[in-house]
Amino acid sequence: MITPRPLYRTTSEPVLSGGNAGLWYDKFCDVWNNDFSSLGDRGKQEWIETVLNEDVGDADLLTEMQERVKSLISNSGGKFMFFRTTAPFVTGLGRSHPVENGFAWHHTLGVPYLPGSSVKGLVRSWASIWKKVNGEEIKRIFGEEPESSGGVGSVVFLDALPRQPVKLKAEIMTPHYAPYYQGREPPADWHSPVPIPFLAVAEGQEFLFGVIPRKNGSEECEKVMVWLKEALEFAGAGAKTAVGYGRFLSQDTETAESKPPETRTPGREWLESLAEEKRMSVEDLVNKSYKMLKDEWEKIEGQELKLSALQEIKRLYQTKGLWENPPTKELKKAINRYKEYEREK
Amino acid sequence: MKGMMLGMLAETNIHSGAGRSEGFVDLPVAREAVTGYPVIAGSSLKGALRDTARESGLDESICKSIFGTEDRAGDILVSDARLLLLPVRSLTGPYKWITCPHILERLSRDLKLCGLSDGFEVVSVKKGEAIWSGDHLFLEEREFRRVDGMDEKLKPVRAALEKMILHQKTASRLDKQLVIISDDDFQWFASYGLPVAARNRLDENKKSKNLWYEESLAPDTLMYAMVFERRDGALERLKSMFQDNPYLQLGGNETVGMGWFAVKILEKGEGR
Repeated sequence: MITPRPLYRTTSEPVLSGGNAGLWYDKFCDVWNNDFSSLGDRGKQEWIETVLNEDVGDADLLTEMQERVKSLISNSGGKFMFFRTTAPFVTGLGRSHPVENGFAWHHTLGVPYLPGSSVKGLVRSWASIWKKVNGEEIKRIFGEEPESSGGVGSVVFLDALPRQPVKLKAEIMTPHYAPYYQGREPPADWHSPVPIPFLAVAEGQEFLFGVIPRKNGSEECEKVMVWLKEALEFAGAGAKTAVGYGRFLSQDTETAESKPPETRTPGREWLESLAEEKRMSVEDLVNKSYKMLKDEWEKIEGQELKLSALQEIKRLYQTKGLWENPPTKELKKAINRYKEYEREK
Repeated sequence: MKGMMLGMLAETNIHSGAGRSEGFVDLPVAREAVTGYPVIAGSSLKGALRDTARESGLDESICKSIFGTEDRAGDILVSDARLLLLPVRSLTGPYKWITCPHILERLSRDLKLCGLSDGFEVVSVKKGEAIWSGDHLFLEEREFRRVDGMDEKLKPVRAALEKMILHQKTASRLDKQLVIISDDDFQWFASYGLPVAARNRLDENKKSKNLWYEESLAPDTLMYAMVFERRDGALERLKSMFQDNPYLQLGGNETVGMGWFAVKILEKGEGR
């Protein structure tokens, strides 16, 4: 049995209670050594199990971060999408760790994540190798290879962050021909299989992926999101994609296929009829004519309808990340009025 | 001379690099020579401001007058962006925001310089101790003892810091996440407590072509910079730039999502 210990002597026994799971997993396993023998046969599995007890990450903090990322994206004219893992997902296996395979943890959130650089590499290879997009376009969107003079790409790839606390699981790989993989011997029957446990993200965990245009790249963002969706679905992200790891399904396609159409609230009906009257889409009404929308909303007489419409409007602003961080003064004014009414009721 | 302060909250990782390496990390972040705290050079910040100005559609001639040309100095002075709060991983909550008396004293002086406040009293704290609202504390692998009865003294510090953060919700977390430790302890975290990522390029067969280690400032790092004007109106122009879009990108690795700050402007006579 391994006991968690920090590198320094402490007065109290450290425990992971709502803390940073990444810190715990990396630094409190006090058996760092030159090889991977120090944890022993059961030790690796046991250490992995210390982070499986509950979902990792702080729900409030993740929600806040997500709102902030959405607000950054909508202020910069970018796009975002939610994806859900349909297979185990693992990244950062190459990092050193006593368990033999490391794990990429987000520094402040203490959750697994996929760095922007990995997202970019994935989409670039999907576009150039699978989609055979022509070289000029690749250079424009992803930038030139470092060897050459180096133009900068037109799209920014943000880190993909989990939407809720993340469920992890222990997986096992069992290489049969270790000396062969190490390049020492040809593969042969007398090599023994060696089971190695490692940590992975379970199926069904949601992540937020986002891109931002850099200097005139707004059209290209849409194109990139299509590639991203295909790449995550077919090619997979992170490690061990050749054996089926790292596949994600877009949440949009999923809701379109499996959920019945949403029941419409009175507020939603009011919004739709107003949009029709003004000959605009609900989307434009909410995002472009917020002052007019607010004035029309003020005119509603029934209290129940007014509240229902308010909730609908709030939901639409929230999905864009505008509710907490309105980008313009005018919108801020409108939202403050909504919030005021909400508090009164 | 009129001045204002920019409260800069990191929304993503920030890599404002030193461009050279002396140790294990291939690409460390830039640090102040004397204190060893991570810093963003005034020249980098000014460049980023200029770029943002150009992108926001500001007229090129106005841009030139604000930021200067080769033969004419610009109308604004830009300081380095200094470190204020460093997010450090913890076993009680995902991370804590740490700072130290030296940084707070510097902030107090800079607030006075910008005419934003009369400064505040800076607390002192011993090595191995921490001033904060909870009890037991692990930062990275180190343990800290809580100093009792300091709640009153934390208040003015918290009030000053709250104003630097753009998002209300984020600022409200200061109550339970702010930690003041001694200058020496802080320096250790500023040197060794930053995220280091391993990066590489893969070829078509997914073999790694190269591998490098890169240090960055974590999201939720809080920094601040001062801007002064040499001619009336320059600050107004700069301010209006951030009114519609409060975000500023600076430093390296832009296209892999790094370098985004949410900027909050603090001015004299305005209580926000």
